[in-house]
Amino acid sequence: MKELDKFKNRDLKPKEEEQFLRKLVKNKHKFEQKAKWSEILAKEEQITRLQQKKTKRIKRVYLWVTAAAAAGILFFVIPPLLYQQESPKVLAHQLLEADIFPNPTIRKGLEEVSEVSELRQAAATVYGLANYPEAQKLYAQIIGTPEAILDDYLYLGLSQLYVGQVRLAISNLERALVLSEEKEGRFNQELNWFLALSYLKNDNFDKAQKFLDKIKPRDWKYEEAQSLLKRLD
Amino acid sequence: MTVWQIEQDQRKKLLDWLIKEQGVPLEGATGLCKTILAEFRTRFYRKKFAHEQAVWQAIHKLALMELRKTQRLADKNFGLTATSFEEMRSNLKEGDDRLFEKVFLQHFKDCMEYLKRKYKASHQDAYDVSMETLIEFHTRLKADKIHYGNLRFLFTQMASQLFLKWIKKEKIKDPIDGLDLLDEPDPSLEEEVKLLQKCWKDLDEECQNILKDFYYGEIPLNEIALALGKSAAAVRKQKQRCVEKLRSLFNRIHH
Repeated sequence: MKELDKFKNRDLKPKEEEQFLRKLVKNKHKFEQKAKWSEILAKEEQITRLQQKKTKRIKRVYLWVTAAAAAGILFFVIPPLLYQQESPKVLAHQLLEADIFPNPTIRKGLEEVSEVSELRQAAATVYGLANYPEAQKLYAQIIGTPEAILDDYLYLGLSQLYVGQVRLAISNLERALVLSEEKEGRFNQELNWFLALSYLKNDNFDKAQKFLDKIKPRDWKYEEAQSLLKRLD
Repeated sequence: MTVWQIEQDQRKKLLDWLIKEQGVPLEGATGLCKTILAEFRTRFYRKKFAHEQAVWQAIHKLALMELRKTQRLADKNFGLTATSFEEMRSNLKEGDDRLFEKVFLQHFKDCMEYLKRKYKASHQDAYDVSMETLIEFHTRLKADKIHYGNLRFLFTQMASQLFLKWIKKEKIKDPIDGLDLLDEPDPSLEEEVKLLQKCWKDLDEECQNILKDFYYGEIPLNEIALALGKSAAAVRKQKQRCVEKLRSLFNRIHH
């Protein structure tokens, strides 16, 4: 406050006064910007400066239990009803839920242990435990490095797909498909299948059909693909 | 068929493929198309292709490689391509923060998680440091002090160094080139800023704009004058009157 007092009493030299005002106005703007961004973060990303207190957590547990019960009803009661209406989107959802794609990532004995390989192992573990939000975070970190490989994009896309972030999933699975073409079609059949399901979930039936058409008679999930194609027709 | 003829024939097909099949926006696709065909020219300027299918296969392969390279670069830059980065920067200079906010606020949590994981930072410290880094990044981007390349790495490094300097009070051994980090703000500043916010409301709009442009935007008075259609001398006097008004408001509010 010393400088402010000097400013008020005209005790600052002109240059000092300019510096003081510059600092003050800049900081005012910074504070306002922080306030604006905090609001956006809280609203859109659910990130706040203060963590939720424990009492709130207990309430949250109850909320989760209620939500889980509701989700149970959604998964077990509503899908069969919708299935009877023969919606390809619902069928895609059921097929996805029924058959979680495994992640057999294991570090080979001779492989050099790096930060990325550690992350990849951790990501595979949480993916195996069906903790897809955590798997997503870890895979997202990996793909930010130059060591990212096809598998990382595939499992990132799948983790997103399993939690319903379909658009993000499509983007990463498409990237995986580009890499797959470079790798002589590794995971190509799987990518065709999951991209078809993703596009179905996204109501983009034309694109879904395009990927289903790519699944050939001896490919993985051929029968399911045919059944979906019939439903689309 | 010469390479030049081939290029003309394949340009449209490649552009279509990039836009429709790969979802690349038109502006980016045009640039990519240019790069791919330039690479094609360099690699195959002597080769004679027997049929069009072989030409397309060669271009397609180059395009996949180029797409991957672009994608990797974009991943390192919060999903921004070089073009969208420049667009963001020019928007920022015009006072439009929307693209910056859209890109960077989505990655705020990643930065917090990184600080928590690497330095065992508390939630609040991680939040404060990430926010401060965001502000710094915003300022430096506007001032052309940050360039496209590996923004993700730079952002994380800045956050790490701010955390070590401000929270852990450590001396930075290995500072980032050209990125002198700010000192921790004086806590009494917050009170001064709150007083300024109170006084600011009582300044008229033109005063607010002149003081903001001059002190925050660092725009010279003659440029402000030009924008207002006034002489530099008139704006200088007006600015001085605004400072005097601010002084009197401070004196009235804060005894």
